[in-house]
Amino acid sequence: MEKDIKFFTNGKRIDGRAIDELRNIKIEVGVFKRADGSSYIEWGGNKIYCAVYGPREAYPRFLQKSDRAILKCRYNMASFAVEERKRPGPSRRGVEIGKVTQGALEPALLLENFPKCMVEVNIEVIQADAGTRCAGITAASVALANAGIPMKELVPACAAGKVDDKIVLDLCKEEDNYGQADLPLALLPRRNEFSLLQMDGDLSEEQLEEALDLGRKGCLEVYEIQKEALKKKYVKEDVSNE
Amino acid sequence: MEFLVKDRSIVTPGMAIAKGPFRYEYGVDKFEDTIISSVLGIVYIENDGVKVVPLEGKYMPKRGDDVIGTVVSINPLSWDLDINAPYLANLHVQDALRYVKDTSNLERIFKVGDVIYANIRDVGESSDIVLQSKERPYGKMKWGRVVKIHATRVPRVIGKKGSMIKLLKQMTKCEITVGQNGNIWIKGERQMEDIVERAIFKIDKEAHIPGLTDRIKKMLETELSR
Repeated sequence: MEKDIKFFTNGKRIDGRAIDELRNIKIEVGVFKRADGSSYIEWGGNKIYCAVYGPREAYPRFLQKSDRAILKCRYNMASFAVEERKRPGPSRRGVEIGKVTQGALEPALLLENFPKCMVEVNIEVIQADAGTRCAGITAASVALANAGIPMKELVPACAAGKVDDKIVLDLCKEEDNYGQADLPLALLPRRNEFSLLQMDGDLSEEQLEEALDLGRKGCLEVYEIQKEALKKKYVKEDVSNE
Repeated sequence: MEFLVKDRSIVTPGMAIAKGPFRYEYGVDKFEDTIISSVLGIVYIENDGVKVVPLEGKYMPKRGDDVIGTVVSINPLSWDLDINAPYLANLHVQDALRYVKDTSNLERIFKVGDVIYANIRDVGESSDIVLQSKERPYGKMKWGRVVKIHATRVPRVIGKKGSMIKLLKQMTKCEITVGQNGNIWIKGERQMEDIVERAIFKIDKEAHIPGLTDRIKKMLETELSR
């Protein structure tokens, strides 16, 4: 671990952001023709594609639920997505993130409308720059809406963390690697409930409360961007035809 | 009772539409006393009801719908049809034939890949779809081609009181049959089929933008004068 990294200069962070400021987020909707729904997100240096298939018949058959659809999430990182070459193929980390993504998205979907079916979510990380699971969940939620799958609400996600004993929003690469804590969150905005809460590092009880509040604020900002992206797809087409 | 969005505006899932006791049809969900959209779609507000017509999504089978499907597999006494729904639809021999035929070899009646126009007789509790194609005009579609579009855009292909489909048929002299599931069967002269196909894809792409019939008319006129 590097010891002499300076996280704050004149109250600004390494990349010039304020403590409660998100990185730049850009979401595109419907980028793939063959998928039922798709999205592309650029979140700081993260570049992630997401494709959704379904609802369609669930295979293998023994996974079918007679009263609802199942949700399958797959998270994969390209071998060139990180600084050092990542060994391609499924990994312990990829399986875990797929699992937590499923857990984060499932409470928001109305899967009981499609018995015996499955909905597949594929998240492909092309370039990673800290916070890929949050960016992945954000993109997946938009892609699910684009696929026309009924849901209670969109799921925005965002991380909070602790750097130099200060609670900050949306950690960048250095803060993630050399900081003190990372707290990825996914929010159900209307219900005000978290559907993803993980923690790496340590936080005191007060710090956790503070981080949750800051994370919630960040998620709501992401939520606005998600809504804008979905609407923009149709409004933009309007203009091009006039 | 209070509306939070304008009639015919685009809503995203989770967006509040109205507050109070409303009759709601589909595309909406209730949270506490608020009615929220559950899909990406366009809101329609009527006197006492709200609904959201989705912009994307698969076809959900309903009883009584006319659909166009392709045979994907043959069972001892029935065929399985792909009708763009999440599930395969089942067509039993009894419901398929107008008169008695030798049913020892079903492949002689409908082969895998055949296009069939059928009516949904029933959608079961566990979403199994039962079709029938006994009476006219149901049955096998010979020749022609099938164009696939989003099932949510089918009403736009038909138009108000059938205006759009009438326009297409009159101007190109093609036979067109529209399935509620988004499969459209066209038969006519080859160039005309091409033109209809392009027009239908245009409708699919621009379904949510007003003034569609005029634009399609203009497009057909320019294409036909070539």
